[in-house]
Amino acid sequence: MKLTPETLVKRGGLLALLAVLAACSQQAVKSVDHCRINPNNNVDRMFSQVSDKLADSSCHYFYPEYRQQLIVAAKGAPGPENEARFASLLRESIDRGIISKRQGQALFSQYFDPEFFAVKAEPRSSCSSLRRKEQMYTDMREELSYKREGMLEILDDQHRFRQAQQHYNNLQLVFDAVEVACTQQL
Amino acid sequence: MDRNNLRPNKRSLAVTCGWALILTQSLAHAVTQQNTDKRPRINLFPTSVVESLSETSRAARNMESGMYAVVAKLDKQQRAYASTHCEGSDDKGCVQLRKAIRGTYKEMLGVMQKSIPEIRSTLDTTANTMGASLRSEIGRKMTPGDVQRILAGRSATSQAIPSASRSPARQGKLSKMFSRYYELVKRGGKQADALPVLASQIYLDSMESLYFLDLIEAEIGSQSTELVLELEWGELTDQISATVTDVKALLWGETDRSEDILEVGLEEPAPQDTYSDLLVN
Repeated sequence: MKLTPETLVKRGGLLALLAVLAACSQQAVKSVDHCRINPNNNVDRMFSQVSDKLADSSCHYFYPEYRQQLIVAAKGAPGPENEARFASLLRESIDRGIISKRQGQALFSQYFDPEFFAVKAEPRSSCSSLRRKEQMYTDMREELSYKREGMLEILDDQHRFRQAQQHYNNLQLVFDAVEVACTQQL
Repeated sequence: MDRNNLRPNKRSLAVTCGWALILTQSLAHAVTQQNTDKRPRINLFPTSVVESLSETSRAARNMESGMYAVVAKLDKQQRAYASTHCEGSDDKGCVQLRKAIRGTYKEMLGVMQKSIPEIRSTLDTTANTMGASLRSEIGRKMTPGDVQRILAGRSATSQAIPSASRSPARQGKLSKMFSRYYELVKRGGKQADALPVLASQIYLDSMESLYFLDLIEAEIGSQSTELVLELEWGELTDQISATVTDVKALLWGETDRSEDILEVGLEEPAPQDTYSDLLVN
């Protein structure tokens, strides 16, 4: 095969492209490795690792994964101190712009607040909001399962979870009555 | 500087200090007031609701007191029927006893039938006034989040509603339920966090009682006709036994649900100031 200048240029271009692609893929592998945290039994160390990784903006993509890993780690060592650990991480995440303040509040409330974020998020009057009562109840049920995870499995705080359950029951009783009262008028 | 010149200065200083003190006091008062005012205001129990609760309780008590004697008589007759193995027997005594039971049962239905209109009317008023109150105070004025804030009692001073005093013996379930509601409403005015729960419970119970009163009345109508036809012969039906059991449960009750109301929503809220930035108001 005769090597013409055109062929040489084409081959050179192809080689250059391959080199760039290889470099990129190496870079991607490198950044994935760089962002990974080493799972271990020390919860503080896990939180500290995540905090370090979040200082690097290329690792922000791994945020949901970190959160899951930290939840698993905290469940392995349940206790009241986990609340401060998560609060600190969420504040840091908000400050770094990884999540919005609203998202941070939603996450914290869903896991650790006996009150229901799903209910707080309703902006309209009760008569209007309760037209989609079933959806609200579904959201509340889902949130109660997060609270069970957060309060019982992560904080080991049975009293707080009972409070959440009490809220759940009371809210549903009041909403049921208000819904009937609102529809009676129609 | 002579003393005459000093005197007005001192006076103006005193006046300034006085005004400053008043201003500071009123500012402090305003801040406190503002904090208290953050709590959604709620007036779920206007006088009309309290009065209708008292009326319902009285009407239920009247019905129950009119029924104790006849239900006790019926109970005694049924026990005698069961202990003498009269079921399926054509013995003259057994036939007489069956006839007596049917007669007493009819008497019981008559007492109930007579009492139902009054109790229905008072229940109706309670349900209507309570419903209107829930609709206007919570349904229209508040978001679900406001309701949650009240139930959580976050800014309210949490003080448990004192449990109602023990009711006198032999008070029926229905009247006990409404008299306890009445007592709770009268005493619980200061505990805003439990009031929506109490109002909801009263409203739903009134609606449910009305529904059952309608069923009972319809049933009484049909059973009275059957009894007239079967007064002289035939076995005692299971329907009679079942109705007597239901009426006894209504009067004396197996489990007293009104006790449960006292426990609902009265826990102290946990202080969470440390995380206020991560919590939505």
